[in-house]
Amino acid sequence: MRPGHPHPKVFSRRTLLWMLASVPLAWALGPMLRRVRVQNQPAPVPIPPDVPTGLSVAGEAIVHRGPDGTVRAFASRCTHLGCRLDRIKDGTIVCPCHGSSFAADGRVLTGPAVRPLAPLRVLPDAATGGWIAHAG
Amino acid sequence: MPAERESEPRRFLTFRGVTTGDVAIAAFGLCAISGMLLAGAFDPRDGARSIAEWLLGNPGAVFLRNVHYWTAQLFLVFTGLHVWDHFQAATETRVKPAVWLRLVLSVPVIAFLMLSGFLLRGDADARQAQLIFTEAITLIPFAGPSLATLLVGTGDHLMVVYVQHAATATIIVWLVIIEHARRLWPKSGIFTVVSLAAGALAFVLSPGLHDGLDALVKGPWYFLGLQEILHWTSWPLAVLVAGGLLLGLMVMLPRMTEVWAMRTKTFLLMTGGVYLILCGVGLFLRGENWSWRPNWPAGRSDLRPGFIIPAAPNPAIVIPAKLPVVLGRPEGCLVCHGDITGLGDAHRPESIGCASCHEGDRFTLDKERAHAGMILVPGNLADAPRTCGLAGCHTDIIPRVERSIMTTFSGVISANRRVFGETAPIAAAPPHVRDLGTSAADSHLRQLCVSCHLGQEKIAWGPIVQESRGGGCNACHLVYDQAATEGLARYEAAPLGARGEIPKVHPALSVNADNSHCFGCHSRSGRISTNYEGWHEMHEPPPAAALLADQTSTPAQFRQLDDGRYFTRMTPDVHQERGMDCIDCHTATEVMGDGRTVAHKNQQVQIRCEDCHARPLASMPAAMLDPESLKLLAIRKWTLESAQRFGTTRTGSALFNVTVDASGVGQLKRKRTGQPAELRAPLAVCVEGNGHDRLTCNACHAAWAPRCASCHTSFKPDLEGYDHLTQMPTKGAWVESSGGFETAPPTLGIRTDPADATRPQGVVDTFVPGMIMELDRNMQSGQSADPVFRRMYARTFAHTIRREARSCQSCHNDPVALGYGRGELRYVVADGVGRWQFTPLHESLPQDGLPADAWVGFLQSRNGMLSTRDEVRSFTPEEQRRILQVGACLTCHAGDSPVMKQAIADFAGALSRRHTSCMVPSWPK
Repeated sequence: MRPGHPHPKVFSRRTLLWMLASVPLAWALGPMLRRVRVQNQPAPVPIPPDVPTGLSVAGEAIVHRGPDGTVRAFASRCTHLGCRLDRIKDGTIVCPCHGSSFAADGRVLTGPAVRPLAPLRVLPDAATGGWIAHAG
Repeated sequence: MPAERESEPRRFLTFRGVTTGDVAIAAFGLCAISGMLLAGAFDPRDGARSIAEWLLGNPGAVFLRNVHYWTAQLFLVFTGLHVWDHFQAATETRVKPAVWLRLVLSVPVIAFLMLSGFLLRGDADARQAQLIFTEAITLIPFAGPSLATLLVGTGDHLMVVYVQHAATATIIVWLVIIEHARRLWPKSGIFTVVSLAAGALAFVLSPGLHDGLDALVKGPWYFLGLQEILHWTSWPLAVLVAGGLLLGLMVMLPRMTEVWAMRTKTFLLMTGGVYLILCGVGLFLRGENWSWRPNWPAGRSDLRPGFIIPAAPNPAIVIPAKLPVVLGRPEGCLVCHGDITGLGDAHRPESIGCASCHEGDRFTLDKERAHAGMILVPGNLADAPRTCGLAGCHTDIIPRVERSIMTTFSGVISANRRVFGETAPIAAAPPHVRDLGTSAADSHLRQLCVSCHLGQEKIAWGPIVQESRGGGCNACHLVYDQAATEGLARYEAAPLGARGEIPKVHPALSVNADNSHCFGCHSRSGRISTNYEGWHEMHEPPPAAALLADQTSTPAQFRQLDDGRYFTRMTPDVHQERGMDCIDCHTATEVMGDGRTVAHKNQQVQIRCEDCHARPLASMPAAMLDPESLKLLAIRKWTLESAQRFGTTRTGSALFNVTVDASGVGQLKRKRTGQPAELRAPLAVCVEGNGHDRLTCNACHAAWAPRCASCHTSFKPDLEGYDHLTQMPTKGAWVESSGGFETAPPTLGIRTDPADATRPQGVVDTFVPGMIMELDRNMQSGQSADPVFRRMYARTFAHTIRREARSCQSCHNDPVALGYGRGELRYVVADGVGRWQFTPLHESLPQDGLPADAWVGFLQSRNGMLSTRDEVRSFTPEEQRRILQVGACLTCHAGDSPVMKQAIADFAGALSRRHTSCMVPSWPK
């Protein structure tokens, strides 16, 4: 025991009280938790009909148009720590923050990310002749 | 109780009675005051815009922002030093546990206070940091998402961050300071000193602001260590846990024995030291995409030296009350350059500003500062990824161009190395001009050839002219119209040292590249640009009298290019006569590449004569047009109807300027003018029978091609050369010379194309002498001679197409066409026997016994290196005999006679029906 506090306790009564109170407090914050998750999903992203072949960035989506015209889209957020992905380099998607890279099909090529990019649902957009990418 | 516990605590580090804590408190106080004063001018809905507006027109706010920044840095640094001090003095045991706990917990609060201040910048750096911070906090089990919402909110704006920074975190830290230091206000003396120091720094060193264009994205310097750690770990939560454990260790310090406390503090301080080193790594050694790139931090987000009050602005410039906004940010460039015209819809300054292409500093009205680091001629391949290739612009095209053969130069490099005997393994990747070495072959190219590749930098303003080389995107897309040319001329006309009138008309960036863009490079070597226009290079200048007479003749017979070479008039290509440009045939995909790296030009060129002149034409529906074609149609404002069909190349690429009707007949639109052109069907003789199945169109329709009678390559060690790659003079120079330039219908030979399954035996194509010479491969090294003799022809597409084809005799009875070289080829009938005889014009060379200009000997075969390419060859003896057999008939029968027309369809039948007087050739045994 060192000078300054001759009667050490593992927990004071007040600390214990705070710890017990934190459980219902966290439970009460649950709805907020869900709200954050919903809001982190990207809004529908319009993809123009002349989106170039190969990889491109369309707002909050990474779009890949194959030589056969098929269009795929991924959320433009790095699966490592959520950085916005807005760089295409040598046919790969590169994270500007920590250097992860992803293939055109969303696979991780180099870390630190370990999870593939989140795919978006791509549906035709009759109004523009292009597509709309939806989350989920 | 150990003896150490009774020892007198060490005194704090002081300077004239002032502790590091006193400095930290003073800095905190001044930081709070400056932040409070800034609040009124800051819009948390768009922090970056607020700051940009300060930088552009509010030096007072810039000063306050700088004071806020510098006092925050001082607070952080001196707080760290004060913690060190406390550790040294072992004071953790002299405060109540709750006070100690609050002190320790204030560490993450201070971290949040600093980080949230950075987030309020709202620029690209800050937005990425906000995403990382939010994601990291969300990872905390159970409470993470709630905590993230509490600290940064849920929207894109910074309202919550602003409140937590300016109020919550500031108040908490202040309360902890009051409790810890037992003082409400800083000492007046040190407060004055800190104010003076921060004020001095604030005048000359400003924190930057990311302009949204720079590819470099980094957090604040004190978080770069964390960014570096996160780069190395796939489990960010582990980093958070480790941070929590470090805090836990600090919390537990008072409960430890003195020995363990010292060990723990040593560990914590060492951890802090390592962390600072990692911050240095992030600051000095990391570049774009966190790649390893040692550099002095000079990005647009980094500290900028310079007096914050701009130099006296040009009185002629009126600063508008509302600054021009481009891409969501104020663009200071437009205050002075807002009246620039000439750029098309896509590149209008009102749409993309100036800095998007020219860089510089868009957040200042100080001319010198705004222009520092500016790119005068953007679009060179060295800067294209961060100018033309910016995200949202032409990101997809730049990598294609970088791999295209006009950039890599791989075909020329391969051919040249082959001649020098420096051939790379077949499996090796195609060479790239940037990787040229110093061997004889490569230095030969460096001096004589590589000024033409697209990577060659264009450094001076002005249009693309005959002597322009390279320039990246500019090589094709930079277009000076008359107004731009005149504006530039007025600017350049100003006396040396005087300030000319700044051109108001910017050169356009257009997809409608005219032939002058191609001319500079393609008027050399194969000279296809001059051929196309009907000009043949003269080996010697014309006589002065002829030149004088030519000044009044129409059309002129002679033409001198800007590089001094003289040309004489020849028949132009029929497409040139019809007003067609290079881009009318050559597609964007083949000019800019399709992303593949190819070894030779023919692998990148897609267009064939048949793509426009076959019947029926191959076509595709409008719905299958690729995005690039759609974009090019839209740029030209050409209507696109769903029922339209478009022509295609052999590789299936769209020819968006060729529409094809239901019967397979096509019509071409000239890309620059939109004028239609008829696409004629091939003549009957081209498609009837099977006699000419293997002929390419140009085998008959190429009217002429330039040829060198002889060529010589030597290395002169005493001369000074010039390396186009390094743009430096060299000791020793490669020198090329020729015995003279001639023209003739091209020689014919065989080219096999693995991609053409319909003609596996190859096609008859056109060739010219490539190099027939002896080359000493040790010329450059100066070692004992290593001579090698080459007799090579090169494939050519001369771009001298005429509607009328060459005559039957010009192929079947012509020694040049057959590859024998110039001379007399006679069919002699004597004693009832017909024999072909050839008398060459040129003497035979001692190296191989063939005439000086021959590709193959008369009725002989050749092996070995026949060309710069493997897939071409001269005619075999059997092929020569078959050609000459028809040639024998043509000595009596006209090419358009009925019997010869029948022979095209059925030569064997025609031969069997021949008259008894017809003498078929006999061949030597």
